[in-house]
Amino acid sequence: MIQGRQFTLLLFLVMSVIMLYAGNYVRKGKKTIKIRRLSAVEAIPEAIGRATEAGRPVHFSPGLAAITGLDAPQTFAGISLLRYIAKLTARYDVRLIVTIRQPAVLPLAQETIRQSYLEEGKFDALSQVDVMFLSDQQFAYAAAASGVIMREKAAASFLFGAFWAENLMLAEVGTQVDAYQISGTASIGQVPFFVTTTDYCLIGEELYAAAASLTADEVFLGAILGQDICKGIMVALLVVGVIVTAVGSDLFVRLLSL
Amino acid sequence: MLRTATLAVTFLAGIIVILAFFFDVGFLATAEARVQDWGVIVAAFALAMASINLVQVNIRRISSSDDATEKICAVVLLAALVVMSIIGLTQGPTSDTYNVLFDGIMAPGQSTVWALGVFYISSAAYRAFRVKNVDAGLLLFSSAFVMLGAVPIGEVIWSGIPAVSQWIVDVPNMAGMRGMLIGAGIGAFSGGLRLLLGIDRTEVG
Amino acid sequence: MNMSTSVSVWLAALVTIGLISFVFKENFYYRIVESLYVGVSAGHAIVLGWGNIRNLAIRPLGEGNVAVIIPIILGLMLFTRYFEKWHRVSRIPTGFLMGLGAGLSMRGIVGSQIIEQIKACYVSLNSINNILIVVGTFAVLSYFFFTVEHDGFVGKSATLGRWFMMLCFGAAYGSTVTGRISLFVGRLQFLLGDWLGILQ
Repeated sequence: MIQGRQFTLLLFLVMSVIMLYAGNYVRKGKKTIKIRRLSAVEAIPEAIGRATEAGRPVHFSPGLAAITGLDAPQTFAGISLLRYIAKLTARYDVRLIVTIRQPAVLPLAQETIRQSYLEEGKFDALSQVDVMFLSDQQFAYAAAASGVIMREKAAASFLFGAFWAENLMLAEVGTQVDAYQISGTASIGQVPFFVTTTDYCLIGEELYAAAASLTADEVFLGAILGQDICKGIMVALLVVGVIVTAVGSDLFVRLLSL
Repeated sequence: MLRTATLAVTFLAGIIVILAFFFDVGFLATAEARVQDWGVIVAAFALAMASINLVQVNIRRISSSDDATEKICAVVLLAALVVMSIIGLTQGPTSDTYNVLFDGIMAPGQSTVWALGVFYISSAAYRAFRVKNVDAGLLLFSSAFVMLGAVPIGEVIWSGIPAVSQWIVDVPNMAGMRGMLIGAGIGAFSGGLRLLLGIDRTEVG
Repeated sequence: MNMSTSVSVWLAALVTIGLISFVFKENFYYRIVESLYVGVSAGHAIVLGWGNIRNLAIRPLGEGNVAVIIPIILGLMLFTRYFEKWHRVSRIPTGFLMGLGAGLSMRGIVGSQIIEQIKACYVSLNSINNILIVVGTFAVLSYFFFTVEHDGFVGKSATLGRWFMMLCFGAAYGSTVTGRISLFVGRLQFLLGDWLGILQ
């Protein structure tokens, strides 16, 4: 066991067990739960509807993070949202343009879209989809993706995943072509630019909740319930730890440093 | 069968790096290093595939577009790709010609696109701050003080600006950041767990 | 005034001006520069990617390390997606990469993004600022509860959390503005100094 990682392992196991247990609990119908609406997710069909009416394409970016790095879950969440959006573009015969920065995300996005079009019975309409790898360099991708959004006059632009300094450029160009924009990122430093520029923005954990909300219902509810229970534990750790520290004990500091 | 194999490979890759992080066992450390190297190799193949996609998309632009500019741009892109690759593969990425292209096109491209944010940030601010609600008001208040706190004129306007700016960064900003990081961390963990265990119906499942 | 005679400085100046022109309107010059930039960066990526394959796969294989055949096969499997009958096989290498990413992020998140953040809140409550940091963190966390209705105490706490987030976003916004201005000034200095030689 590596020193200084005992508490991390304990929390890792506790969180895993809770999330799995909550998933089972909900799947077996032992608990009915209601969850808070996410306006950004509810606005997706409207954005695609607007593109259908305008006869203009929909742009999607799954963010800039690699699927082998620390920000990988953001990309996975982006791809989950792509699955849903591709179903809608297939259903309404709208052209879908996906711009990619990370090479390994390309086959993932292509496979996801393929599956969505198959499920909608629109395999032939796949020719209307452009999945483009643009560049693995952050700003070259930003310049190229902005050019694509502008030239194609995207009627809707979805930006879901990890973004960095380039996010403002992508969102501002979307605004210039009057695209209905919905964004979501857990890259906290970039949220302000999405909040101020796009029509709806999923902030931090909302991105993961939105991604989960598009999977099978019981899986989603279980995941969200598990996440909320874990958050409850963190709140308890926070409150109790602060009180114990305030009375002069460093017990919790030492415990969490284990 | 294929689905099981995919899920097994996904699970194994993840569990090896997780176990190696917690347990000081020789073979786990070796396995982790190997799996990470393998990731780099597979990603390099993915890059080859992505490059094929880039070439395909641009050949399509040349052959099917009616717009002359579109065709010219696609030709320029493909030519730049081929020239840079050939120079890099034959003379090496430290050769003089390669450096001229890198320093003359890539490096300034990167810093200029990054710097362009200054224009976008102004127009975004103009729109955002026209919205009259508490959220926009707080955002305006906070950003104005932090901006003015970073430049000498802030102190000329009111001597307290640097202190308020520092307080915003140290207190509400810190609290907001911590809360969001914890929440996002839990969400990311949950997504990763579902993926590793094949609970979500994903592209690998 | 000493205008530069360096090829790369001239190229850099033309690229800089072309990319800046996008702010005013997309134009032919910008599109050419954008294509050039994207093409060169793609070429650069190919060179680096080939370096990785050569150093991590081909060279070790030549030295008798047969284990690298596994990632080579996984890498080649990606190309099965070009064949309708075999395209599902490409999910195996994708799954490998995703599993690796999930594992790396899960193990890193618990320590740095959760435990360290909570631990940083363990401060003595002897100042208003410390109390505000703890209350703010609590309030922001309450905003992210999805299975609890945002009314009553939770509602008020979530609203407070949202306000804290807005102040946080404003701070990020404000500090980014100054950073971007410096970057842009840097580009102007390059054009007027390194290229045109007007600035010393």
